[in-house]
Amino acid sequence: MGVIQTKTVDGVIRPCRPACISYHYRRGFCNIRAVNLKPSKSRVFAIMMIVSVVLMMLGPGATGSMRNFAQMLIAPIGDGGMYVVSALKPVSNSGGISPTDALQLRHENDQLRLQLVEAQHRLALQNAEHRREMLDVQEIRTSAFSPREDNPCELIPARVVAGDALPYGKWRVVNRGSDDMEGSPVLSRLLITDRSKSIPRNLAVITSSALVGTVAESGAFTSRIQLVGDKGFHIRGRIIRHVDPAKPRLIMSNRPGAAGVVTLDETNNRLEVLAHGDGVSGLIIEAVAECEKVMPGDWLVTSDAEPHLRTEVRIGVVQEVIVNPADRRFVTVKVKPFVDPATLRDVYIVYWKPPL
Amino acid sequence: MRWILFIIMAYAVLLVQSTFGGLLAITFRSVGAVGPDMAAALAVFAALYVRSSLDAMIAGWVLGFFVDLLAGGPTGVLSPVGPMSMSYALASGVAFGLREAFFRERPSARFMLTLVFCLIAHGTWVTVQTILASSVMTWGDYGRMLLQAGLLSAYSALLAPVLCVLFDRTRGLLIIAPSGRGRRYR
Repeated sequence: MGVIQTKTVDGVIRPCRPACISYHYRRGFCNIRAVNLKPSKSRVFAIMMIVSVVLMMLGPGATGSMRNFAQMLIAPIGDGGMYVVSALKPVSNSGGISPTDALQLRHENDQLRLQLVEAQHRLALQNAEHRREMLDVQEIRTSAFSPREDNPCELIPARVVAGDALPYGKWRVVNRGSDDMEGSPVLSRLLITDRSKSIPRNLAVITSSALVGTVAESGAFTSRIQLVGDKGFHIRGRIIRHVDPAKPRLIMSNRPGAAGVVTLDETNNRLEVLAHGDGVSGLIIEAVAECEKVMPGDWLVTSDAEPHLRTEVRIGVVQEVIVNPADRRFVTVKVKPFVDPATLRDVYIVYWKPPL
Repeated sequence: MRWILFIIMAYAVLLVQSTFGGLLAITFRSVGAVGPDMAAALAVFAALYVRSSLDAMIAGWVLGFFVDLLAGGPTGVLSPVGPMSMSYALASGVAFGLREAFFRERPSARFMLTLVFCLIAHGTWVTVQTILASSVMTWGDYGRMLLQAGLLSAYSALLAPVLCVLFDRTRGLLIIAPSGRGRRYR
């Protein structure tokens, strides 16, 4: 790109339109020279490629402010788009069932309804019996634990405004017959907050009932969260094994003074674990001792040891327990998150403030 | 090329991709999610009608840069900015070079060019990301992501003719019509 200038016979230099260059040449009363005032496209492109290489070498940490700026541009309009998506996604995911399955389900429903009536009758009798005992226990608990302090944390309301630009984030698996939704990205979500300053990383993000993920990066008014199912998500959690008097579980206890095989009860049903997202169907807990007898239906909750969320918040439910073929003393536990990313909309960022 | 208008259009396309992309995604049990890359369709559209290969590559770089900024990364950690812009620029250059082999108004041409574009751009991007995160990625992950990229390319290519019909309406605004002999390629 250049600007053609003409030097007239009286020595004045002025810009010249390309159309009159040939005219000036023919007349021979001016000298023409091209002066490059703008960088050429090839130079611009070379600079762009160098910028790419440099940014790639610097890593993701160096481009945080650029990402935040881009997220801020997307956030205001993306909010409306995500509203539509979160409203339509459950509809688009709802698959039909075959007539045979429908008949079978109806038959099962009838049987379950009968069982429910019987169970309700038994429960009413048991309730009357236990009411008196409960009142006694409640009195003891009240005296032992109250007044109970609130959790010292601030909940920052936030709203999901965009997903990932690329679908390479790990996605959830179709699980017919359950409430699993397919096609919901697990990797990350973009949030819009009411904070003009960036929020610290690794803060927990929750819905009203369960953990969603943690803050991966943040800028003014926007944050990117890493969802619990993402491969890079790690958390110290706690498995709460459900105590069922009808099916007592024998576990190996290593507590001082109570080592050996014991029956699972309310005092020993919590198991500290380290969970991470598997990138496919939720979370995975590896190398859990088989003798701990973790079973499908148990809950995974956050642990007090987690510095940004020192309380028990539900994460997911144990879906599958797989024995390690190499060493049968250990099992791998698969956990299905309670939160469905497809319909995720309003969340809270937990800003934990330790008591002064 | 009117670059300001192109950047506005790139923003609009990326906005739609970030929000509505999830609705169009299909999940395969063994591979994962496959969603359309609408930015690739715009890059191919630009490569079809710009005047020089440099214009096409700069347009590709701009789109890739936006994608880089709005993508989290496939490896569980935030990916660095840069690989997608380079991949898009490279793929745009290839698409520009191939365009003379096709009748560019035909849907089949747009399908083929988008397929080639996405295979090059996403294949390169996946490979670079795998190398950068080699400590956490396995060969299995790499293979699965390459398969995902292939399916994504096919899906994007199927959607590209439809998107290009929409982009066609803005061609007069985006692309400066060449004067003189160059007009014939329009």
